[in-house]
Amino acid sequence: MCDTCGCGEGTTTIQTPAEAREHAHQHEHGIAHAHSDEHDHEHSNHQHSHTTTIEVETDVLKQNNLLAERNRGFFQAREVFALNLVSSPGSGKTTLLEKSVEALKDEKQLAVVEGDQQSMQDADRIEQLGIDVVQVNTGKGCHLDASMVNNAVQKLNLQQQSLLFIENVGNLVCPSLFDLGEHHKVVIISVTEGDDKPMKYPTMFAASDICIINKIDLLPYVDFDVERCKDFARQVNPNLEFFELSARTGEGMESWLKWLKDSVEV
Amino acid sequence: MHEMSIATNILEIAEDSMDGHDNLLSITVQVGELAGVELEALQFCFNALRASSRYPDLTFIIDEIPGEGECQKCGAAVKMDELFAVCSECGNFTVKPVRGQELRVTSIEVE
Repeated sequence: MCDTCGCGEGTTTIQTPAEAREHAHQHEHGIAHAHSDEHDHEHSNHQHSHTTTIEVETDVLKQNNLLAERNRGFFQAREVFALNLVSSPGSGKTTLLEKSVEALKDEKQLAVVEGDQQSMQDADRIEQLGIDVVQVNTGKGCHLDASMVNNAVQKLNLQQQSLLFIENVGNLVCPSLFDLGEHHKVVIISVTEGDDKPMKYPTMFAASDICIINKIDLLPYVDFDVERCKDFARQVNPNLEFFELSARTGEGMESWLKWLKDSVEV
Repeated sequence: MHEMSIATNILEIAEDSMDGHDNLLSITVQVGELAGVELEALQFCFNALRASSRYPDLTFIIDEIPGEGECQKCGAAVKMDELFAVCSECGNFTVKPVRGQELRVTSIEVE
Protein backbone atom coordinates (compact mmCIF):
# COMPACT_ATOMS: atom_id res chain seq x y z
CA MET A 1 0.00 0.00 0.00
CA CYS A 2 1.19 3.51 -0.77
CA ASP A 3 2.01 5.20 2.55
CA THR A 4 1.16 8.73 1.55
CA CYS A 5 -2.07 8.26 -0.31
CA GLY A 6 -3.23 4.80 0.74
CA CYS A 7 -3.46 3.55 -2.84
CA GLY A 8 -3.13 -0.15 -3.43
CA GLU A 9 -5.28 -3.16 -4.02
CA GLY A 10 -7.98 -3.84 -1.52
CA THR A 11 -7.35 -0.81 0.66
CA THR A 12 -9.55 2.11 1.56
CA THR A 13 -8.79 5.47 0.00
CA ILE A 14 -10.49 8.72 0.87
CA GLN A 15 -9.95 11.65 -1.47
CA THR A 16 -11.54 14.64 -3.10
CA PRO A 17 -11.71 14.66 -6.91
CA ALA A 18 -8.92 17.30 -6.95
CA GLU A 19 -6.66 15.06 -4.87
CA ALA A 20 -7.42 12.12 -7.17
CA ARG A 21 -6.33 14.12 -10.21
CA GLU A 22 -3.14 15.25 -8.46
CA HIS A 23 -2.41 11.68 -7.43
CA ALA A 24 -2.93 10.34 -10.94
CA HIS A 25 -0.60 13.08 -12.15
CA GLN A 26 2.11 12.00 -9.72
CA HIS A 27 1.86 8.41 -10.88
CA GLU A 28 2.19 9.53 -14.50
CA HIS A 29 5.46 11.19 -13.61
CA GLY A 30 6.66 8.10 -11.82
CA ILE A 31 7.04 9.65 -8.41
CA ALA A 32 8.37 6.78 -6.37
CA HIS A 33 6.54 5.25 -3.46
CA ALA A 34 8.57 3.63 -0.76
CA HIS A 35 6.93 0.60 0.74
CA SER A 36 8.20 -0.72 3.97
CA ASP A 37 6.74 -3.99 5.06
CA GLU A 38 9.31 -5.14 7.53
CA HIS A 39 7.70 -6.03 10.78
CA ASP A 40 9.73 -7.87 13.33
CA HIS A 41 7.88 -9.85 15.88
CA GLU A 42 9.78 -11.25 18.81
CA HIS A 43 8.04 -14.20 20.36
CA SER A 44 9.29 -15.46 23.65
CA ASN A 45 8.74 -19.14 24.20
CA HIS A 46 7.40 -19.94 27.60
CA GLN A 47 7.49 -23.62 28.41
CA HIS A 48 5.39 -23.27 31.56
CA SER A 49 2.02 -22.34 30.15
CA HIS A 50 -1.28 -22.24 31.98
CA THR A 51 -4.64 -21.78 30.37
CA THR A 52 -6.58 -18.83 31.69
CA THR A 53 -10.08 -17.72 30.81
CA ILE A 54 -10.63 -13.98 30.56
CA GLU A 55 -14.12 -12.49 30.56
CA VAL A 56 -14.33 -9.97 27.75
CA GLU A 57 -18.02 -9.05 27.30
CA THR A 58 -17.36 -6.56 24.53
CA ASP A 59 -19.71 -5.73 21.70
CA VAL A 60 -18.04 -6.61 18.39
CA LEU A 61 -19.18 -3.35 16.84
CA LYS A 62 -18.20 -1.30 19.89
CA GLN A 63 -15.31 0.46 18.15
CA ASN A 64 -17.51 1.36 15.20
CA ASN A 65 -20.35 2.47 17.45
CA LEU A 66 -18.03 4.66 19.52
CA LEU A 67 -16.72 6.35 16.40
CA ALA A 68 -20.27 6.72 15.10
CA GLU A 69 -21.18 8.52 18.32
CA ARG A 70 -18.19 10.78 17.80
CA ASN A 71 -19.44 11.58 14.30
CA ARG A 72 -22.89 12.19 15.74
CA GLY A 73 -21.44 14.67 18.25
CA PHE A 74 -19.52 16.42 15.50
CA PHE A 75 -22.69 16.71 13.39
CA GLN A 76 -24.69 17.92 16.36
CA ALA A 77 -22.16 20.62 17.21
CA ARG A 78 -22.40 21.99 13.68
CA GLU A 79 -26.13 21.29 13.37
CA VAL A 80 -25.37 19.10 10.37
CA PHE A 81 -28.20 16.86 9.21
CA ALA A 82 -26.62 13.64 7.95
CA LEU A 83 -28.33 10.99 5.82
CA ASN A 84 -26.94 7.57 4.98
CA LEU A 85 -28.28 6.46 1.58
CA VAL A 86 -28.35 2.70 1.19
CA SER A 87 -29.63 0.42 -1.58
CA SER A 88 -28.72 -2.29 -4.05
CA PRO A 89 -26.46 -1.21 -6.92
CA GLY A 90 -28.47 0.43 -9.69
CA SER A 91 -31.42 1.73 -7.67
CA GLY A 92 -30.60 5.28 -8.74
CA LYS A 93 -28.94 6.57 -5.57
CA THR A 94 -26.48 8.81 -7.38
CA THR A 95 -29.11 10.23 -9.74
CA LEU A 96 -31.40 10.95 -6.78
CA LEU A 97 -28.47 12.63 -5.06
CA GLU A 98 -27.64 14.71 -8.13
CA LYS A 99 -31.23 15.87 -8.52
CA SER A 100 -31.58 16.64 -4.82
CA VAL A 101 -28.30 18.57 -4.82
CA GLU A 102 -29.30 20.51 -7.95
CA ALA A 103 -32.64 21.48 -6.41
CA LEU A 104 -31.26 22.53 -3.03
CA LYS A 105 -27.79 23.90 -3.64
CA ASP A 106 -28.87 27.54 -3.88
CA GLU A 107 -30.83 27.40 -0.63
CA LYS A 108 -28.85 25.05 1.61
CA GLN A 109 -25.27 24.23 2.51
CA LEU A 110 -24.65 20.76 1.08
CA ALA A 111 -21.84 18.23 1.25
CA VAL A 112 -21.49 14.68 -0.03
CA VAL A 113 -19.48 11.61 0.95
CA GLU A 114 -19.49 9.03 -1.84
CA GLY A 115 -18.80 5.39 -1.08
CA ASP A 116 -17.87 2.86 -3.75
CA GLN A 117 -15.47 -0.02 -3.97
CA GLN A 118 -13.55 1.63 -6.80
CA SER A 119 -13.44 4.75 -9.00
CA MET A 120 -13.99 8.49 -8.65
CA GLN A 121 -16.99 8.25 -10.98
CA ASP A 122 -19.66 9.37 -8.51
CA ALA A 123 -17.59 12.08 -6.84
CA ASP A 124 -16.81 13.53 -10.26
CA ARG A 125 -20.55 13.65 -11.04
CA ILE A 126 -21.26 15.52 -7.80
CA GLU A 127 -18.26 17.82 -8.14
CA GLN A 128 -19.65 19.06 -11.45
CA LEU A 129 -22.57 20.50 -9.50
CA GLY A 130 -20.14 22.63 -7.51
CA ILE A 131 -20.63 20.81 -4.21
CA ASP A 132 -17.95 19.72 -1.70
CA VAL A 133 -17.49 15.99 -2.14
CA VAL A 134 -15.14 13.29 -0.88
CA GLN A 135 -14.94 9.84 -2.41
CA VAL A 136 -14.29 6.86 -0.16
CA ASN A 137 -13.10 3.82 -2.09
CA THR A 138 -13.42 0.81 0.14
CA GLY A 139 -11.31 -1.47 -2.08
CA LYS A 140 -12.68 -4.92 -1.32
CA GLY A 141 -14.91 -3.60 1.48
CA CYS A 142 -18.65 -3.93 1.03
CA HIS A 143 -19.78 -1.07 3.29
CA LEU A 144 -18.76 2.25 4.78
CA ASP A 145 -17.89 2.28 8.47
CA ALA A 146 -17.81 5.08 11.01
CA SER A 147 -14.05 5.55 10.82
CA MET A 148 -14.15 6.06 7.02
CA VAL A 149 -16.86 8.69 7.45
CA ASN A 150 -14.88 10.27 10.29
CA ASN A 151 -11.85 10.62 8.00
CA ALA A 152 -13.95 11.73 5.06
CA VAL A 153 -15.79 14.54 6.85
CA GLN A 154 -12.45 15.97 7.98
CA LYS A 155 -11.71 16.62 4.32
CA LEU A 156 -14.99 18.44 3.88
CA ASN A 157 -15.31 22.00 4.96
CA LEU A 158 -18.66 21.32 6.66
CA GLN A 159 -20.57 24.52 7.26
CA GLN A 160 -22.99 25.13 10.11
CA GLN A 161 -26.46 23.68 9.35
CA SER A 162 -25.30 21.70 6.33
CA LEU A 163 -27.12 18.81 4.82
CA LEU A 164 -24.67 15.92 4.48
CA PHE A 165 -25.46 13.04 2.14
CA ILE A 166 -23.45 9.88 2.66
CA GLU A 167 -23.94 7.55 -0.29
CA ASN A 168 -23.07 4.08 0.92
CA VAL A 169 -21.64 1.26 -1.18
CA GLY A 170 -24.39 -0.33 -3.31
CA ASN A 171 -25.26 -3.31 -1.14
CA LEU A 172 -28.52 -4.12 0.58
CA VAL A 173 -26.99 -6.30 3.28
CA CYS A 174 -23.76 -5.19 4.92
CA PRO A 175 -24.22 -1.41 5.40
CA SER A 176 -27.21 -2.08 7.67
CA LEU A 177 -24.94 -3.16 10.51
CA PHE A 178 -22.61 -0.18 10.55
CA ASP A 179 -23.80 2.98 12.25
CA LEU A 180 -22.04 5.98 10.69
CA GLY A 181 -23.45 8.57 13.09
CA GLU A 182 -26.15 9.60 10.63
CA HIS A 183 -29.56 10.92 11.62
CA HIS A 184 -31.40 8.52 9.34
CA LYS A 185 -30.70 5.66 7.02
CA VAL A 186 -32.62 6.15 3.79
CA VAL A 187 -33.19 2.91 1.88
CA ILE A 188 -33.86 3.28 -1.84
CA ILE A 189 -35.61 0.62 -3.87
CA SER A 190 -36.40 1.00 -7.56
CA VAL A 191 -39.45 -0.45 -9.28
CA THR A 192 -37.22 -2.49 -11.61
CA GLU A 193 -36.38 -4.62 -8.56
CA GLY A 194 -38.78 -7.09 -6.97
CA ASP A 195 -41.55 -5.66 -4.77
CA ASP A 196 -40.79 -8.42 -2.25
CA LYS A 197 -37.28 -7.11 -1.60
CA PRO A 198 -38.18 -5.86 1.91
CA MET A 199 -38.95 -9.49 2.83
CA LYS A 200 -35.77 -10.79 1.25
CA TYR A 201 -33.47 -8.19 2.81
CA PRO A 202 -35.32 -7.29 6.00
CA THR A 203 -32.30 -6.09 7.97
CA MET A 204 -31.84 -3.00 5.83
CA PHE A 205 -35.53 -2.09 5.92
CA ALA A 206 -35.57 -2.60 9.67
CA ALA A 207 -32.54 -0.35 10.13
CA SER A 208 -33.89 2.49 7.95
CA ASP A 209 -36.33 5.26 8.83
CA ILE A 210 -37.08 6.40 5.30
CA CYS A 211 -37.83 4.32 2.21
CA ILE A 212 -37.71 5.88 -1.24
CA ILE A 213 -39.39 4.00 -4.07
CA ASN A 214 -37.56 5.28 -7.15
CA LYS A 215 -38.11 5.07 -10.92
CA ILE A 216 -41.91 5.22 -10.62
CA ASP A 217 -42.02 6.52 -14.21
CA LEU A 218 -41.30 2.91 -15.21
CA LEU A 219 -44.27 1.45 -13.32
CA PRO A 220 -46.37 0.89 -16.49
CA TYR A 221 -43.67 -1.41 -17.86
CA VAL A 222 -42.90 -3.58 -14.84
CA ASP A 223 -44.80 -5.89 -12.49
CA PHE A 224 -43.83 -3.95 -9.38
CA ASP A 225 -46.79 -3.41 -7.03
CA VAL A 226 -46.07 -0.32 -4.91
CA GLU A 227 -48.66 -1.12 -2.22
CA ARG A 228 -47.43 -4.70 -1.94
CA CYS A 229 -43.87 -3.47 -1.51
CA LYS A 230 -44.94 -1.00 1.18
CA ASP A 231 -46.93 -3.69 2.98
CA PHE A 232 -43.90 -5.97 3.02
CA ALA A 233 -41.67 -3.14 4.22
CA ARG A 234 -44.13 -2.20 6.99
CA GLN A 235 -44.15 -5.79 8.21
CA VAL A 236 -40.43 -5.45 8.81
CA ASN A 237 -40.61 -1.88 10.07
CA PRO A 238 -44.05 -0.41 10.91
CA ASN A 239 -42.56 3.09 11.34
CA LEU A 240 -41.01 3.41 7.89
CA GLU A 241 -41.85 6.65 6.07
CA PHE A 242 -42.23 6.40 2.26
CA PHE A 243 -41.54 8.66 -0.69
CA GLU A 244 -42.51 7.53 -4.19
CA LEU A 245 -40.66 9.36 -6.91
CA SER A 246 -38.74 9.35 -10.14
CA ALA A 247 -35.41 11.11 -9.79
CA ARG A 248 -35.11 11.08 -13.59
CA THR A 249 -38.42 12.76 -14.48
CA GLY A 250 -38.82 14.72 -11.24
CA GLU A 251 -42.22 13.19 -10.44
CA GLY A 252 -42.76 13.06 -6.67
CA MET A 253 -39.50 14.88 -5.93
CA GLU A 254 -41.29 17.81 -4.34
CA SER A 255 -42.33 16.08 -1.12
CA TRP A 256 -38.88 14.50 -0.72
CA LEU A 257 -37.20 17.89 -1.17
CA LYS A 258 -39.62 19.49 1.26
CA TRP A 259 -38.84 16.80 3.82
CA LEU A 260 -35.10 17.47 3.37
CA LYS A 261 -35.52 21.23 3.78
CA ASP A 262 -37.74 20.86 6.85
CA SER A 263 -35.27 18.43 8.41
CA VAL A 264 -32.30 20.76 8.10
CA GLU A 265 -34.25 23.64 9.60
CA VAL A 266 -35.31 21.79 12.74
CA MET B 1 -19.37 -9.93 3.00
CA HIS B 2 -19.26 -7.80 6.14
CA GLU B 3 -18.37 -10.97 8.04
CA MET B 4 -14.70 -10.28 7.26
CA SER B 5 -14.83 -6.94 9.09
CA ILE B 6 -16.72 -8.59 11.92
CA ALA B 7 -14.14 -11.38 12.20
CA THR B 8 -11.31 -8.84 12.13
CA ASN B 9 -13.00 -6.84 14.89
CA ILE B 10 -13.46 -9.98 16.97
CA LEU B 11 -9.78 -10.87 16.71
CA GLU B 12 -8.78 -7.29 17.59
CA ILE B 13 -11.01 -7.26 20.66
CA ALA B 14 -9.58 -10.61 21.75
CA GLU B 15 -5.99 -9.44 21.27
CA ASP B 16 -6.70 -6.27 23.24
CA SER B 17 -8.01 -8.39 26.12
CA MET B 18 -5.06 -10.81 26.43
CA ASP B 19 -3.74 -9.10 29.51
CA GLY B 20 -0.06 -9.83 28.84
CA HIS B 21 -0.48 -13.47 27.82
CA ASP B 22 1.29 -14.70 24.69
CA ASN B 23 -1.02 -17.23 23.15
CA LEU B 24 -4.66 -17.03 22.27
CA LEU B 25 -6.37 -20.42 22.42
CA SER B 26 -10.02 -19.67 21.92
CA ILE B 27 -12.51 -16.88 21.46
CA THR B 28 -16.15 -17.28 22.46
CA VAL B 29 -18.67 -15.01 20.77
CA GLN B 30 -22.40 -14.63 21.13
CA VAL B 31 -24.11 -14.21 17.78
CA GLY B 32 -27.83 -13.58 17.77
CA GLU B 33 -30.03 -15.18 15.14
CA LEU B 34 -31.21 -11.66 14.17
CA ALA B 35 -27.78 -10.00 14.24
CA GLY B 36 -27.46 -9.99 10.45
CA VAL B 37 -24.40 -12.22 10.47
CA GLU B 38 -24.11 -15.41 8.45
CA LEU B 39 -22.48 -17.96 10.74
CA GLU B 40 -20.90 -20.07 8.01
CA ALA B 41 -19.40 -16.98 6.41
CA LEU B 42 -18.12 -15.80 9.79
CA GLN B 43 -16.46 -19.15 10.43
CA PHE B 44 -14.95 -19.10 6.95
CA CYS B 45 -13.51 -15.61 7.49
CA PHE B 46 -12.22 -16.59 10.85
CA ASN B 47 -10.36 -19.58 9.43
CA ALA B 48 -8.79 -17.29 6.88
CA LEU B 49 -7.73 -14.83 9.58
CA ARG B 50 -6.29 -17.53 11.82
CA ALA B 51 -4.01 -18.69 9.01
CA SER B 52 -2.33 -15.29 8.93
CA SER B 53 -2.44 -14.71 12.69
CA ARG B 54 0.10 -15.54 15.38
CA TYR B 55 -2.18 -18.17 16.92
CA PRO B 56 -2.21 -21.42 14.93
CA ASP B 57 -4.27 -23.29 17.56
CA LEU B 58 -6.96 -20.70 17.91
CA THR B 59 -10.51 -22.03 18.00
CA PHE B 60 -13.59 -19.97 17.56
CA ILE B 61 -16.65 -20.84 19.60
CA ILE B 62 -20.00 -19.46 18.48
CA ASP B 63 -22.79 -19.29 20.99
CA GLU B 64 -25.92 -18.73 18.91
CA ILE B 65 -28.73 -16.81 20.60
CA PRO B 66 -32.23 -17.51 19.28
CA GLY B 67 -34.42 -14.63 18.21
CA GLU B 68 -37.30 -13.55 20.43
CA GLY B 69 -39.68 -10.66 20.11
CA GLU B 70 -42.47 -8.92 21.90
CA CYS B 71 -45.69 -7.88 20.19
CA GLN B 72 -46.15 -4.11 20.51
CA LYS B 73 -49.93 -4.50 20.31
CA CYS B 74 -50.74 -7.35 22.69
CA GLY B 75 -47.47 -7.88 24.54
CA ALA B 76 -47.12 -11.57 23.64
CA ALA B 77 -43.65 -13.14 23.53
CA VAL B 78 -43.02 -14.38 20.00
CA LYS B 79 -40.28 -16.59 18.58
CA MET B 80 -38.48 -14.77 15.74
CA ASP B 81 -36.23 -16.39 13.17
CA GLU B 82 -36.35 -13.36 10.88
CA LEU B 83 -36.48 -9.65 11.63
CA PHE B 84 -40.19 -9.72 10.93
CA ALA B 85 -42.71 -12.04 12.49
CA VAL B 86 -46.45 -12.40 12.83
CA CYS B 87 -47.65 -12.29 16.42
CA SER B 88 -48.79 -15.80 17.31
CA GLU B 89 -51.48 -14.32 19.61
CA CYS B 90 -53.06 -11.38 17.76
CA GLY B 91 -51.78 -11.86 14.18
CA ASN B 92 -50.24 -8.39 13.86
CA PHE B 93 -46.84 -7.69 12.36
CA THR B 94 -45.85 -5.41 15.22
CA VAL B 95 -43.33 -7.74 16.79
CA LYS B 96 -40.21 -6.01 18.05
CA PRO B 97 -37.07 -8.07 18.65
CA VAL B 98 -35.94 -8.22 22.27
CA ARG B 99 -33.35 -11.00 22.02
CA GLY B 100 -31.20 -12.37 19.23
CA GLN B 101 -29.41 -9.24 18.03
CA GLU B 102 -26.32 -9.88 20.17
CA LEU B 103 -22.90 -9.70 18.58
CA ARG B 104 -20.30 -9.74 21.32
CA VAL B 105 -17.09 -11.35 22.44
CA THR B 106 -17.92 -12.98 25.77
CA SER B 107 -14.59 -14.56 26.77
CA ILE B 108 -11.21 -15.73 25.56
CA GLU B 109 -8.86 -18.47 26.66
CA VAL B 110 -5.18 -17.60 26.80
CA GLU B 111 -1.93 -19.13 28.02
